[in-house]
Amino acid sequence: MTLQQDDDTLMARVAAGEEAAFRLLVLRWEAQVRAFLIHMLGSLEEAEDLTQETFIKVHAQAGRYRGEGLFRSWLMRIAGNLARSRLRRRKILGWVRFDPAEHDVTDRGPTPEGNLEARERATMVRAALAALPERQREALVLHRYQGLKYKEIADAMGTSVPGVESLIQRALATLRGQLAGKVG
Amino acid sequence: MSHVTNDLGRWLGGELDQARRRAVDEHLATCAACRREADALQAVWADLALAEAPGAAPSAWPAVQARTFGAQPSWFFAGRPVLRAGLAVAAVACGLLAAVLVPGTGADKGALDGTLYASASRVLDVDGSSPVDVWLAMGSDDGEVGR
Repeated sequence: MTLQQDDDTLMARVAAGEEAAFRLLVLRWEAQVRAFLIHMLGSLEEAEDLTQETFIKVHAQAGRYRGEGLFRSWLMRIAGNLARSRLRRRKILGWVRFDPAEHDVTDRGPTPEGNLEARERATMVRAALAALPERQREALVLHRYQGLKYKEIADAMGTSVPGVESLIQRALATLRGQLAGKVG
Repeated sequence: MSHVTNDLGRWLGGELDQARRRAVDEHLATCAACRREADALQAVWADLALAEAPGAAPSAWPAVQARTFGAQPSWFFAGRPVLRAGLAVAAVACGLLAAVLVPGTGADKGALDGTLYASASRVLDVDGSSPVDVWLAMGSDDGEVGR
């Protein structure tokens, strides 16, 4: 049984009210959802909050899941919608622009010199990622970190495969410009 | 073969089919301009690995379970069991202090003590309850144990 069939089977059991099946789904996918939301929001606390919200919505909508596309795309669509809503709310409330130095999710423990350089570079990369337009960032994060194929990303974002290709192409070009020649 | 810069995004992420990938690789072996572009994008791709999200984290399941199937913990206390327990102990301690300091009949104090004991047991044993429950229980004025 493929992972997708397994997810579809679990979703059918979730729709039937089975808590154990829902628990399996959460444990299987929560790390990916959390990682995606951390990249989108730049805040570990918000990512954890929306990870919970994502699965609560999965449970609420289990009866409507038809298994027509990959479960992963459907799941990331829910998480992506929540992330975009949260980002819109930040803009409406006039939040300070995301500053990775403030929300750095890496370990802040003592580190040797070589690792310090890598951490500075990582901070630079996160800042460049955060500066990307939302849709470019979302497409790139889903592809680079969550390993989704272009077709899956298109399903998750409600766009076409050429649209995804364009988003990722532009994201990479922007990042190249931001990071080129910068020594961490 | 024409330049392959438009294929490099797919090439990086493993999105090209085998035949196309082979064609791009062959072109990159002979075209300096496309090779420079590919090297630059590969550097970006490698840099992105530095920004991987942290791995280990507490599972979301307990909070998801509680909010989906059980009593609804306040969003503030979800995932903060130490804080919740600390506030519960502080609430009970304040209640005990009030029981000692506030004058009352023996029967009233006995009812209040019973209520406090039941509330403390519930708060400390039952997942998902909040210190608000303790305060409400202590505020019960009809001597009923618990709520």
